[in-house]
Amino acid sequence: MSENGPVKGLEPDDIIQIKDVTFTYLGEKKPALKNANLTIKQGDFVLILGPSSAGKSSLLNLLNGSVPNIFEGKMDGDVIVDGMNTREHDVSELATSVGLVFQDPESQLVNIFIKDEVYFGPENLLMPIEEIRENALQAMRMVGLDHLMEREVFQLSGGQKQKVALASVLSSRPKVIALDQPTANLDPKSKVEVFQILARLNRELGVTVVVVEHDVDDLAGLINKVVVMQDGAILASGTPREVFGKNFQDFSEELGLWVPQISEVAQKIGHIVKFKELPLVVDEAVEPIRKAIGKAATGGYSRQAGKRADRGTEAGSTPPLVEVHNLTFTYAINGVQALQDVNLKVAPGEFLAIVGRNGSGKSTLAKTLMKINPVDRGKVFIKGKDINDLSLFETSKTIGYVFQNPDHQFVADTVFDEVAYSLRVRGIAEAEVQERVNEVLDLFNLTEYVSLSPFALSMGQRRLLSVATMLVVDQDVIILDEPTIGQDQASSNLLMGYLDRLNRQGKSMIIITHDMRLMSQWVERVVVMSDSHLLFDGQITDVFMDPDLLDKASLLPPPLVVLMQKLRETNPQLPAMVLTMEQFESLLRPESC
Amino acid sequence: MELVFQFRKKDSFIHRLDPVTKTIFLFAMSFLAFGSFKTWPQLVLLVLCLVIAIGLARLSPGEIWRGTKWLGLACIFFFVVQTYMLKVPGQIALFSLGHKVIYLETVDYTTAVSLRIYTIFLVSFIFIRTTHPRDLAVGFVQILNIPYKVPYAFFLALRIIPMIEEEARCINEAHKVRGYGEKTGFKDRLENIKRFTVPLLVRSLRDASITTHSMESRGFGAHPRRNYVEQVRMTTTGKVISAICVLAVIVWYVLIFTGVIPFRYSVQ
Repeated sequence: MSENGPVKGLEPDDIIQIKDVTFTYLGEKKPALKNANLTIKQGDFVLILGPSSAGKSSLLNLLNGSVPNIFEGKMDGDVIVDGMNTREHDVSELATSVGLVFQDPESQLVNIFIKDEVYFGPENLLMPIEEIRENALQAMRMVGLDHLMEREVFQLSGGQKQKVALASVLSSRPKVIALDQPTANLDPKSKVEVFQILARLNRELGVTVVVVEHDVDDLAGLINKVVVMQDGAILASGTPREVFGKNFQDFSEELGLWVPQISEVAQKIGHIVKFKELPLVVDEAVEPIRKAIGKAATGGYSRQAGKRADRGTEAGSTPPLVEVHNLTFTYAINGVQALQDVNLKVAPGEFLAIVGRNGSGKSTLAKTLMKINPVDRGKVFIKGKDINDLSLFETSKTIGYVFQNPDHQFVADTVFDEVAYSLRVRGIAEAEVQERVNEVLDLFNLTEYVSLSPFALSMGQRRLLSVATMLVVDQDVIILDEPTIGQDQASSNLLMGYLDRLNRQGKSMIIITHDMRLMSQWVERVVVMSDSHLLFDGQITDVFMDPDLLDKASLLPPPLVVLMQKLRETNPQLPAMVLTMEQFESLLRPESC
Repeated sequence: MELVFQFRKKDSFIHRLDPVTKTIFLFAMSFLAFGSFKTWPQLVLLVLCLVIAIGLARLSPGEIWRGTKWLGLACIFFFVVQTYMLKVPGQIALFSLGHKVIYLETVDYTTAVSLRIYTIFLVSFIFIRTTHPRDLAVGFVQILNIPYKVPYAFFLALRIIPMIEEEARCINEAHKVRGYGEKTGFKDRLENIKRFTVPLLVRSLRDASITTHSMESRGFGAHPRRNYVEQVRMTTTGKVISAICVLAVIVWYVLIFTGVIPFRYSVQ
């Protein structure tokens, strides 16, 4: 019950009520939220899903009054949180009701010492000193970092920083925690750890959790409510089974949202396996599938199951495009050794992923291949030439590098000039520039935006443009740093589809990623980094079958792989590894048996 | 890799002193150094500072050398050039360099000025090496009752500057990959600056906006004052040292203004 007395229209356990809210940011014409209605009960664990620019962050900002108190604009309707109308209370007054955690921990941590960070909220709220100490310690215990209280923030890893950010909100004991893509930058294991903390908070302390995320697989078994948004409107809300069950095709294919992979499996094989209700996590799907396989399987399985189409890599037949011998690199600015004795070869036409925990040396390795970092010790050869004898500009003729944040790369005023710049700077004749730019823009469906500023495009389009600026030069190798981070399924698949096509035309692709589901769909060769060392270089199937390697590199196999492993426990005849939906479906077809 | 000019955690008498006392000490030594153009008081101050640095702040001679060597060398250069170039004639000739007569008064003056610069730098070095920025900011709020938003502006600067540096580095790297900087004409350079500055500014403003949003959503600014778990207090020792520092400055300037101690050699 609210401390401010009962509110008309609210049930006793309703903690948040959004009533007919339409909000337009100051200076904007299009509303960010359109006639939004939503009720959240105390103890709910809510996932907000939606494509880019759906209004998800704006909805979160409603909860603690940031909209309309900090982000000004025209707002119709009301938001009642913990019995308080957010129009009538400052953001700071709502701090004990709603805590907000952002995507980037660097920007939200303001203190030098960790203990000051977790004391910060309660100190502002004038809580008694002993209570602050107790709350802070409990919050740090909750995130498993109570032993680091005396450390300074800069000494933490990315995952630890996000946990401290969470603890710094928890210490004020809010009834609701709202999180905006809190794990977008984290490695798979750190991501799951953050979600497990949220689940404990929700289960043990009854904290209401509202989270915006694209990654639904790790949350599917924890949440009890899903809200789907598009263009500022709430399209659907309900239990995950209700929402994904009723509108699966609409959300997965038309809206392009990530849906739980296990639910996708169930939809795909629904004509063969009957599920009582839509499975969300692996354990819910194992038994029905096991029974179906038991009925169908009388003989061996198809040899094709568990194998993917060969990409025709030229490894072994032609000299490597990139060769790395005993590469060691230390950052001069802080003395951190980021690479130690790394050896690597990339052949023409390879599609490989570099994976590993945060700070393991993935981006450093990629930047050294691009000559952004100098070669300290060891050798790097690009098409047989020592990289030390090449300038960065010369290296960029062979290798294209797409940065994690595409905005960093933009240098021109229009989309056309942006792509053309890569050619003009290389002195290519204007007639050829026109022809090649138009060709590339057409390939990426960007032709209609030629006269717009690159910054006016959506995030997905900006990502495509940043890839286009590299491809127009016709390099042999493209390196992409976290190309699908924070993107919905449609944007991710669109980009990966383009890369796949180019790869099949003979270009080598190197992606740095934390997304195991995406990697299992598109990549064959994986390089695993850990603590500045290259731990493993080989087939993706071998990575997922090696628990020690997964543990050291902070990786987790995607749900489909886990499902297959569980099925094999009782049916060892099944293929050791299945990576794609098509492979899995083929297992259950009569001809496979 | 540790930077020379930054706080280093140690257990020493000076480390344990509150930041306000150390600030008073810093200003007192600077005022005393400014209070004379004669060598002997500057030498006394320098020796005193070295004793404090090594004995009370537990800074090693090597540490002091690494932290102050470049300014020390600059002071020697300044001394040599000023001694030779200074046109004001003295009364006691020491020696000649060609046609140039070097006077005792000139040497005394340039030695005092050089030592003064070095002493002020040394005392600043002691201060920075022994005072954590967070204690400094919190100490000013708790001991001097300055508004708490002031030190947080200082914290934000400490947090945001490295973020801006990182952002600038990323943009610079990304632009180099695109071939920016290959054209080096004046117009191209201006264009490069524009292309570099705009995204940097946009990103920095965005980061700063998230930071302030995060602070406000955790109750910052909700009340005119805030609580502090970690208390920074001025101890009796601190109060005595502060009193001695203030007294020393007053006495020194009274002695100078009353003519008991000459400010400098009177040069005719």
